[in-house]
Amino acid sequence: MTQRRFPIFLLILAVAGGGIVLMGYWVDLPALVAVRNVLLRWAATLTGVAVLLGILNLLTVHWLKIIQPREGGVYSLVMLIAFVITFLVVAVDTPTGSWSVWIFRYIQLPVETSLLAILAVLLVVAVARLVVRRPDSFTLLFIGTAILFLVAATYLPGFDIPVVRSLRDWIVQVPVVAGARGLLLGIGLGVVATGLRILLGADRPYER
Amino acid sequence: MNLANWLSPPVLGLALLLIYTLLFLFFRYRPIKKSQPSGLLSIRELAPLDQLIKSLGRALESGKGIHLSSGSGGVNGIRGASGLTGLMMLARIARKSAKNDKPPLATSGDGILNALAQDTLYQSYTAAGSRRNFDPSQGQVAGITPFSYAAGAMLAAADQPLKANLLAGHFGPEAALIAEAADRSAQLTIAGSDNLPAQATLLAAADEVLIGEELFAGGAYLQANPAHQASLAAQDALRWLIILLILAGFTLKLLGML
Amino acid sequence: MSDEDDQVTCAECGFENPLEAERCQNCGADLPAAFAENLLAQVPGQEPFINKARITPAQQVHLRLLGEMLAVEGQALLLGISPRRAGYTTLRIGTSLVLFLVLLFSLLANKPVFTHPSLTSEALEARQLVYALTPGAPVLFVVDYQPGFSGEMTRLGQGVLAHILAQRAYPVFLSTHPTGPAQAEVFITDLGINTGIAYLTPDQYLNLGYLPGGPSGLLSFSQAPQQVMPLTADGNSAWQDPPLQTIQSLSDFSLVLVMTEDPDTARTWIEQAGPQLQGKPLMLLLSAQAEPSLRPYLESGSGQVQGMVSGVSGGVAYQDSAVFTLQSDTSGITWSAYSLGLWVGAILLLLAGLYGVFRLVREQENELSRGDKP
Repeated sequence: MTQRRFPIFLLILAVAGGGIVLMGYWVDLPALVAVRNVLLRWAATLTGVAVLLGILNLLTVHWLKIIQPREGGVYSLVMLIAFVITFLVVAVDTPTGSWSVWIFRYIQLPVETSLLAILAVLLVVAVARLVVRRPDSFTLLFIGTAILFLVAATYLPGFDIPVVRSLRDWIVQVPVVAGARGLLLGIGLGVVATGLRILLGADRPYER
Repeated sequence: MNLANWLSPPVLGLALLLIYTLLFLFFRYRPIKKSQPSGLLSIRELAPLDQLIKSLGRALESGKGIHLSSGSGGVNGIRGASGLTGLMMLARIARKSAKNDKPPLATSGDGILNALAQDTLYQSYTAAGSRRNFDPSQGQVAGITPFSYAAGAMLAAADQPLKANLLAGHFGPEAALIAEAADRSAQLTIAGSDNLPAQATLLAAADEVLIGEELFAGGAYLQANPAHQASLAAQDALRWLIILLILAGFTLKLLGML
Repeated sequence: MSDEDDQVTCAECGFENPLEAERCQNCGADLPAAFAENLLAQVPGQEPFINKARITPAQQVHLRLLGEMLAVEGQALLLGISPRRAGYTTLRIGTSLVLFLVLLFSLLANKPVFTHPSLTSEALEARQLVYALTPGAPVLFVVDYQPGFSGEMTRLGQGVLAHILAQRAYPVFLSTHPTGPAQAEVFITDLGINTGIAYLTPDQYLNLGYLPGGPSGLLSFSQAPQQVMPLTADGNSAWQDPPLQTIQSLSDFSLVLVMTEDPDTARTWIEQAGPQLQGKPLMLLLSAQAEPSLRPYLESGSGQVQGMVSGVSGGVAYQDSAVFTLQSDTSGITWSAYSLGLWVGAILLLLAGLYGVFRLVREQENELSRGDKP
């Protein structure tokens, strides 16, 4: 009996919690607002705990790679050592201390900016592959628009063509914004649908 | 008459939510004629999801796995919906490949999403009668920040023999790195994100892309749950309503009533 | 079917063939029965048996396929690079080298060649918001971008932050990303190097650190900042001293400024924190990729966003127009390198597209010559 009641209890909890937070947007009752604020703070705390959960899982995966020798295990060892050092430094020196900022500035920042820099190269190659994979007018439009945007963003001395810049501005302010709004509206509908399915109990990702 | 006061965002929002709820309940519980196929609404063809279904079959035949990446958006806020959609697709994939030599690999960039992914895999394996094949390490957190997650997902995919990668969740433009790494290993990449810059880069980098809300049709397309199909039908109906509202608003503005 | 152990009779013409024959030596028809016997004989531990059943043509084909598969079983097949993937390595290396050399040359040449951009109307409005700040006015400066985007965001936000500090307002840094606190410290330290002024906390700025919880945390902070974030990133009490003593909600800040590359982050701030502002201005510092998604908030006239500076061009234009000076002003050189990079990128995209067309034509020709349908 308890096994059958527990999923129903979870469902009631999920629906009630979501409903209270949602209703708080329209109804300004002090009691409702108070409960809503408590739930929001719990959600904020849990999201912080989620970061810890993620870190623990990451450490477990890499630890298993070391003790069950697999290819790439040495990199997992480096990762674990780097984690321990960074954790100790930030715990002692605070997140904005000079040593913590040193690690961020000279290790994390160069690595992440380099990864983003690779994207520039990658996208050039991807354009070549796109032409082979999808040789149609939309691909041509995609490439043409990308080139126009790159060229129109700069002000080459002696080659400043106002028409190009006006065309680019018009494209950004009219079709791009319109298309982005359309896509965002559709995505918004999808988000609302997903949330309401959980609120109505039709989807229960929390249930085992 | 100034209608702007009546059409404030809270009022419009409440109205749309109520309309959606009614539509969903109608499509979910409407009486179905005996001559109609049970519960199946006609959904337009989505090439990326067709490719996914084919890849599942090829993966089973070739003894390779499928990698599903549910992004770094967590389950909170706007970004959570795409991650949850990715989980629903994972449930279907896991059920179909429960008896495969190579189980699916699920990576994410958030602790809660990963816990839900592991649960989803466990449920799917249990439903398929293959609980013994379940391994918690099939669900991994590849990284905590978006870029470290992209790097981790690239490596996680490279570590295992995979047939295809499904990126379904919240990704930024760094998702193109995952698609590129998959292409180097001759793996198919099907991607969908709720982030517009990511969709732009994935259009070039991935083999198949789900644009805009096509990602949210994944659950219905893969027949995860009758509620998904009802939800999709309700979304479609609400979309037409919004189109009419936009046209009406434009007309009223022209007439000076707004 | 075999009448004798070392012969097999053809089902079509009745000719007696040797046992190892796969085709009839008289009429050329397949001899599947004997073939099947031979096949089975290769399986260890299995006694060959005579298959007296009729075998259809389709079954004959399948048997032949099975035989071919068994013949190569155990042999390692050399797999070359798929022709669809070969050739892109050269393009990758070439693109990397060209971009790297061009940018390096531009930085070493040290000449500002490209004309600076002018301020857009929304950036002008943003500048007016900063000019309106009084000395000591608290400004919530949200640093919410990924470290990977530091190159663009630093160039974008440096001028604005320098202007805020020149107005002697009091920036309070906050971030909903775990790396945000360190990012903010690097940001203001680098600005200090460029202006020649050492900015100190808590005298000139405060760093509240990481705000967990995503939209829920953001909403809670907007309603009760002192309760949700009582301490600074380095563990000291945040709200004891002026000018933050009087801050009870988000609307007590003179200006809220959100610096991000992600349109969803900006939307979350606009939609969750916006209603709590109660008329106080909200300004966005956006990466170029996020601008189209968020422009409607500025242009709709709803008052949700009052100013916007976007991209490297926006940052350079803002810096040029403001009254403060930077000791080491590299904006001219980096703008030239950036602009040259854009032009080279455009040319590379064009060449990549042409390369793709070339490969497509070549693949189609290869398929035609093999007799396959394109």
